[in-house]
Amino acid sequence: MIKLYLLRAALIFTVVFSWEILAAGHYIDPFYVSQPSRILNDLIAFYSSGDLVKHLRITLKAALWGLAIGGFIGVAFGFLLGRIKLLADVIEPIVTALYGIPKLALAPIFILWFGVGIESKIFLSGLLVFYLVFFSTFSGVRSVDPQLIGAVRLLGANRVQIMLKVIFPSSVPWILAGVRGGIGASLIGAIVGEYMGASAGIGWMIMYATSFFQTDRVMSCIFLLLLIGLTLNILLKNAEQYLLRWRPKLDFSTN
Amino acid sequence: MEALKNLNLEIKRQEFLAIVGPSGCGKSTLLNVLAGLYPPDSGTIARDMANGNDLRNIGHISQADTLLPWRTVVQNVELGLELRGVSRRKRRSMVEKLIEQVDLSQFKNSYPFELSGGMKKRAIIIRALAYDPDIIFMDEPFVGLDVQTRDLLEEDILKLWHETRKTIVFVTHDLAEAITLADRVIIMSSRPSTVKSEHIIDLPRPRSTVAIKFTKEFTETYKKIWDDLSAEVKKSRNL
Repeated sequence: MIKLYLLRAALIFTVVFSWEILAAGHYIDPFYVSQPSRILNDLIAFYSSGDLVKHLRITLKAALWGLAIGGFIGVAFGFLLGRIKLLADVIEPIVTALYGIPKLALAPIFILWFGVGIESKIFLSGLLVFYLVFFSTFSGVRSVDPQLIGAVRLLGANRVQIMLKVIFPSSVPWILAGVRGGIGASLIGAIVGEYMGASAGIGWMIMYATSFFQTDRVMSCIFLLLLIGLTLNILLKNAEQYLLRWRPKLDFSTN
Repeated sequence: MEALKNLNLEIKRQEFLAIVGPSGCGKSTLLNVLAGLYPPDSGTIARDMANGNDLRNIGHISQADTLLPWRTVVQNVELGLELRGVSRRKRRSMVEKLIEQVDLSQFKNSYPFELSGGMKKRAIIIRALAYDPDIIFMDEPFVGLDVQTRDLLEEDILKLWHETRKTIVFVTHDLAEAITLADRVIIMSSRPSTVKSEHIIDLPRPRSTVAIKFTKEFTETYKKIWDDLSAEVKKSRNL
């Protein structure tokens, strides 16, 4: 395990170090690709001016609200359609058809509807998350082992108890799988929404910096997005380890 | 398709009844109808149970592994009590003894994936006992387990039956198992099935599930009932 971490760190260091050297010698043009040391300097300046926290907060707020709202509605719809066959037969094909629309292409119209404030970003982000969580939850609810439902009913459970004690816990792994995809999607929704029309946020900052050829700032923003994605995924992984402790550990590591 | 026809059967309080028949003869159908899972197409079932006649007063054990995988052993065993609104503290103390009786104390906080097939079965059995139903239906509960595990489980069942004196209706295709456990063995005919014959097993109790199989009485009983059963098995094969 330690060896694995060391190798990984060595690889990252080599790439970053080569980038630094190559840019310093102008083998690659830092005007286009920036340079690690310049990115670090920019991050420090960005932070000390107070702008980093301000923009990051706006983007995170949009993404997390999108994740929460889209996730909640996705789970709710997944359960309703998963349990009520008539509803599923009527609605599911429509939802699937709408899924075919590239949702990011709808961003301009959402700006028109909800304005350049945070609402349009939350909506876009939530929509992306909704689809992922909905489909995952829907499949999960439908794949509950009917033998377990039968056995628990025989133990004396009513419909509500079946829902709470069998169907919900059984769907948790599926919901989590949807949320994992949703984390990435919520960030994409927030950022793209900011590209389309905003006055603040990391996405807006990337657009702004690009138009002034400030590649250092663009790279700083991308680095921040990387950190956010990484943090959220680590949090989810910990939550999964706790929530799914009842499942046999699958060990895919090859060392 | 008709599974059961002209079937008349009486189950006495606190008895251990075994129902034996060729595979596909409708034993499980009979059990499910008796348990009240679905009503018979015609005919009636009269129930006179001490604590009420609804589904909540029966226990049911099938051959499937129906432990909830996200609950520990103790959480699974107390599920019936939990569904009946018994407080956590009270139900914990109620299942404690059962868990001890089947030697699962060490594993009470383990999840089902950490258990062997026999341990899972023991947990399923005491789960059906925990909420104290009057009657327990067992539908070939030991199918697919190895012989040694099975012997031990039969031993557990007998022990629990002696202590709790529940009415048990046990469906199996294994005649030896039926004789080992039951007071009374019902042989079912092939489809559409009915009760073909009834045998009182008056082997002494308490029985040892392994030792009893070597006694002369056991062999004699076995032979007598086997002649009866084998005719039905042959018939059902020719269908």
